Amino acid sequence: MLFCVQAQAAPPKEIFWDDLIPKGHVQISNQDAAASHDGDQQNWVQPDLDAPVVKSLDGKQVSLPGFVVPLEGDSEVITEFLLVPYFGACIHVPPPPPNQIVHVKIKNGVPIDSLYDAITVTGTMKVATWKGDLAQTGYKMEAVGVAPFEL
Amino acid sequence: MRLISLASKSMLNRKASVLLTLFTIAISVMLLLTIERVRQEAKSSFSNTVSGTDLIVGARSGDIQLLLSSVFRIGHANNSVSWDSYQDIKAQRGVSWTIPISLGDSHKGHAVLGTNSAYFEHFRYGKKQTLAFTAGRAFVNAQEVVLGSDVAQKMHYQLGQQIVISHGMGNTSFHHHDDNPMTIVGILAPTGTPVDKTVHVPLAAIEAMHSQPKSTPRMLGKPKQPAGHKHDHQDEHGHHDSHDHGHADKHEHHDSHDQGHADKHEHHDSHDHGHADGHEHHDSHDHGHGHDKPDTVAVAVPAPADLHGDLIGEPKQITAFLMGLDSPLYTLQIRRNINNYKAEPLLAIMPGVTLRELWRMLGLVEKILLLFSAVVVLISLLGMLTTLLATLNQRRRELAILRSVGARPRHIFTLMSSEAILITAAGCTLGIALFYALIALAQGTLQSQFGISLSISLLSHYELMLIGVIMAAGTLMGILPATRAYFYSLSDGMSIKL
Repeated sequence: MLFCVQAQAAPPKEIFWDDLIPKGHVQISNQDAAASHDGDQQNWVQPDLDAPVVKSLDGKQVSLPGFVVPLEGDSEVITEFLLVPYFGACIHVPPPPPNQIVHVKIKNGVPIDSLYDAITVTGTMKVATWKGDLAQTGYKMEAVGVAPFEL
Repeated sequence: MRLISLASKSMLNRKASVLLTLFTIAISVMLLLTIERVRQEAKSSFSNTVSGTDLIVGARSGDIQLLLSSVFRIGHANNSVSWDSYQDIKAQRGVSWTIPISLGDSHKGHAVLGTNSAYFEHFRYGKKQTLAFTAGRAFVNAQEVVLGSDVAQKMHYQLGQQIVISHGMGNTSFHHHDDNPMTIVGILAPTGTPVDKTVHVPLAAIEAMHSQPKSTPRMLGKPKQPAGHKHDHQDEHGHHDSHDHGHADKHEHHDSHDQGHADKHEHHDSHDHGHADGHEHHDSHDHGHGHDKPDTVAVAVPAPADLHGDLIGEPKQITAFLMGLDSPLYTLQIRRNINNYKAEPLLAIMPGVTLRELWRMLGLVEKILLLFSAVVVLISLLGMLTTLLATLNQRRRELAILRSVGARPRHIFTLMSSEAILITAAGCTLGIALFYALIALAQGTLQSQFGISLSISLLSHYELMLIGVIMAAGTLMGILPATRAYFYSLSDGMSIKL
């Protein structure tokens, strides 16, 4: 029990987006991928199909800065969002590969005034697998806290 | 305590001006609270309307326009999505479910939404709540309709009744699709969203209405008038004769509404005793409807491949569709692919993002509204200040007498400031009462006109805070005349020159 509390109290590890790509994996530049197979069947779901994840991050307490793409929420708070490494991922630039998106859920939600401001999300990272035509993996996070990103 | 009773007695003596001040404050408080409440409820009504939907896809227009037209039924889409594109996108990897939506018709001012059974299965509102039925069930063939709770309540519709859909928006149309009456088979539970005000029909029904040759425009008014329908009903009856089961819907309708058709009923009953049973067993055997009565409506029903085939018909286009994906991580990529879709210019939006954009646009308007109501409160408080200061001169004598019977200058100060506090407090109380009265009055209109559901709930923390700020401001305002009175009472003494 005591151990538990201590484990929780340990400061979360600060990670960055590069840490979400396994070492040695050469990530295909997303821009190229999008340009070459635009509208292609292969490309429908994600540009880099085998974008691998870092399994060792599973269950780790981390804090990760990024931009918010809201999914669920009410007029006050956002309860579910995608965390992405650059602003505008939802608008005009090609979206990042799946290992550069984190699906964040936060209990009770968090008020986010501007989608233009970067935030730092703290929580437990999970490597999730789900089945489509192919088994897919990606990052999920149960967030406990959100803070404005300090430049 | 004695000072407060003294203050209130003194105020009683100046009823007229005090009451006016009090009303000014009350009205301004009411205004502020109402504006804030409506603003917040409007926002939450909007946010609660769509949930669990990853993407909304429509013809290329604007993000906000697509969101407003597809989900909130505000404005309308200028263009549509071809059925082929829809089928193509639906079949793509990562797509978990889709809900096709076809809008643009109305039933007595209520939007008619053409969809399929996926709507009842996958549509979510609020915090991922599903649609529930208070009565009946979802439609399973092209002659059935499901009503939102408000529609049913307002029009006093019941299960089994028949209604006619008009072409176009607006509260009536000179082009009723009269030859295609539809039976109410389900009524949804209230959701507090535009779903309540929507008439849901199968896509096939919409296609049927639009594809058949138009009869001469009828006069507006009562589409269910027996006289206007005689000919149609006769057709149906002829039809009944040949197909003697499974048309409980129409039969019920006749029973409850068309007294004028009694003769036909008799004919009917003598001929067709299976009907009574048909009522109860309707659910179980109604899948076949679309196929075995081709003459009721000119539905070009293709041989359906499966159970729900007859819900869809052969639409050429839909207004928009909602999409759910296997994983939210796909959203960004699929959205991009749809926006770059080669066969047709399409637009995919993420409802959450677009809603935030909408708030950002409306944020300025909201702030201006708040500013205006705050200024109104300020003006009313300044009015109070003016009255207090103006009466101060007249009250010098009163204060001097108080001094002479032993009141100290600080007593005078307390007396004056407690007067301001009393007026503000009474004003706030009256304002809150007026606010609730106004909400109770406006509730119905706001719900029916703008889809904003106001609830008569206790004051929120935010609203209490607003009241607190007003109280504090009122108290501050009271300090000014109190200070003046304090100094008057020091210098004046009893020597007042009248």
